[in-house]
Amino acid sequence: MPYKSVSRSIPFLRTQYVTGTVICYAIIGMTFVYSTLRYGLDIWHVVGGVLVAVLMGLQIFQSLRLVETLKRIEYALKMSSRGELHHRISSTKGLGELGQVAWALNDLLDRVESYFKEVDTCFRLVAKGNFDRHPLGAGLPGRMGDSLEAIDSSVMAMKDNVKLINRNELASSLHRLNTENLIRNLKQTQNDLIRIDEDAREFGTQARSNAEAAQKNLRDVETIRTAIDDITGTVQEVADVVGILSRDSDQIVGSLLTIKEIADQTGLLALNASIEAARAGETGKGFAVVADEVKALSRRTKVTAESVDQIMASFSQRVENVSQIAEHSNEVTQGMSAMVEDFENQFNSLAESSERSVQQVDTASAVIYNSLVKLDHVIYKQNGYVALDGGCDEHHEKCAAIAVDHTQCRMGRWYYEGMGHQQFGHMSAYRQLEQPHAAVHTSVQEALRLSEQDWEGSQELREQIVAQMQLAESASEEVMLRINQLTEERTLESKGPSPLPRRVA
Amino acid sequence: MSRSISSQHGEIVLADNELIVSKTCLKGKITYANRRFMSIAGFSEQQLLHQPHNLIRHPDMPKAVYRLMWKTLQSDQEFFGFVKNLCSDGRYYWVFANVTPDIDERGHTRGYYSVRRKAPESAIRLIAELYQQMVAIEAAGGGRLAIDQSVAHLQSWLNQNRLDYFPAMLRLYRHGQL
Repeated sequence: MPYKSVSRSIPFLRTQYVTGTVICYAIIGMTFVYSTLRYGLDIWHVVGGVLVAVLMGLQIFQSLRLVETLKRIEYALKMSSRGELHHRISSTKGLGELGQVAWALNDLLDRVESYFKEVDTCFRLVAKGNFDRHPLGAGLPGRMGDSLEAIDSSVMAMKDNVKLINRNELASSLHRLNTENLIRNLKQTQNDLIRIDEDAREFGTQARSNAEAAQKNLRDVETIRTAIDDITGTVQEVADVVGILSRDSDQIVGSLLTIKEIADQTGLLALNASIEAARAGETGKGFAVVADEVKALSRRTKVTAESVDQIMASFSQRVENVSQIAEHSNEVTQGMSAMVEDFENQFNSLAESSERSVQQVDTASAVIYNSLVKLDHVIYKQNGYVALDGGCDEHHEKCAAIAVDHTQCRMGRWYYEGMGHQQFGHMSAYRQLEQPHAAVHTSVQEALRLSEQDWEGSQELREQIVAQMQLAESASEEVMLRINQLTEERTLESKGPSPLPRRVA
Repeated sequence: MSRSISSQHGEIVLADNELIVSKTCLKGKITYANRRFMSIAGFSEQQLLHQPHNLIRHPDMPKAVYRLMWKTLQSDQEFFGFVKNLCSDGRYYWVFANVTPDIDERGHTRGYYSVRRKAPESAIRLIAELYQQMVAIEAAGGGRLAIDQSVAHLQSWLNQNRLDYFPAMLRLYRHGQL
């Protein structure tokens, strides 16, 4: 390479100065020796020679300082090109133009070093997720300042990006948490509704069979009424017959008296006839009279006997009638008795099924109310998620809803003042419900409080928010469990053996 | 080019685009000072080189700030702070200082590099009041304990503003307020 060999063949400044100086001193010396030999020792030659030599010495000293400073500049530049920007050139006083060059280089290095330090520090912190160390561009002119400004706006864009990513990350963690739990909550509500539906169906069937039974009862009552009317008629008939019988008996008694009288008279006449017959001894006229009287008496007796015979026949007929009526009455009574028994059975089963219906309605209403309480609780959590997503400025109402403490929400009022306390206060699940319910409130409130800080820039804060919501979810799960237990216990109580008095009214 | 303006109260105010640059060895002795440093402080290069940097320390500066600076630098972190410096003629100037360790090719700390920029006036008012309280605490006590108390005062001031030291200083520098 010709350029390099040419450059190498030319001596360095220092060599040039030293060589030049040696040559100059040699010329001065030789001039001094020659003039002394030729013209003799002259004071002016001596003084002039010394002066020139001293001046030459000063010249060479400055020249060597220049060279030395140039070497330092070269070193600083060499180190700078190796990336060490902290070298500077000091102590250049009296070196004039070269001093100015040195200071210009120092100023350049000051700015370049400052520029790189700003960029380094800024990016080192950005790599650690800290976007708040803005590069400081003051005092860095032109391209350097512009470059720092461009870096600053890039870092800001990165920060926005990271914020967005972080926001998405939190939103997605919360969303995942929410979806999982919301589905579980909805499933619970669905199960509650399925249960209510089943109860309602059973209740419907029961009510229908009750209605049918009641219809049947109504028809039976109609039949019973007719039967009773029938019985009443029959009894009246029997009374009539008995009246007639009674009159017939009177007649029989009268007839019998007459017969008795006739018998008495016949007996007396017979006695008289026998006496007359005995006295006369002769068949006389008196016997004939007695015989006529006996004849007439026997006729009357015959007539009377016939009359009794007729009465007896009629009496027998009446008795026959009475017997028939009594038999009919008996049949009617037997039918009625069976009907009444049936009727009683139906009424019993109606009463039982009514009792069951009442229990089902009772259970269903407990399930429905507990479901409502659970739903309110789920809505509380949902408010939390919505508020976390957009902040309180955007969701003012949600935040107000979340600020309510665990004694003042619907569940709280149900628990401390309302139905909950009255109906479930004696159960162990009721006491175990309080703590997790309070925890749901405090956790959601704490998550919201954390979300007011700079969570977009802090991984730790985001994790804390998700952790608080997780606490809320697990507490909420326990709340659901306890309410389900309350419902179960309540159902068991209402299905318990009926002779025992129910603990819950 | 606008140079410093000297106010009648003895304050010199830096121009917006000026940089005061200096370097020290690990012990805090000056190894380099740029020309703006010399012109504002009123010292020649010979007077500055190999002298301790606290040559220009102003009595209104709390010791706690320097302690914080050394602690930060020794953990290889950069330091930010508002500093009131003393000139050779008794005047003073406020700067926003950024001090970083100088690290060579092999990763060894060789010295410290300090760049000072113009501090916003509103920030100076806030900081001067805080420094005054800290200096009073340090003067009332004495020794290390007083500096501890002064540091505690700085910390409580930061807590009131709900910021850490460096973000607070950077915000003051960039926006002139917290």
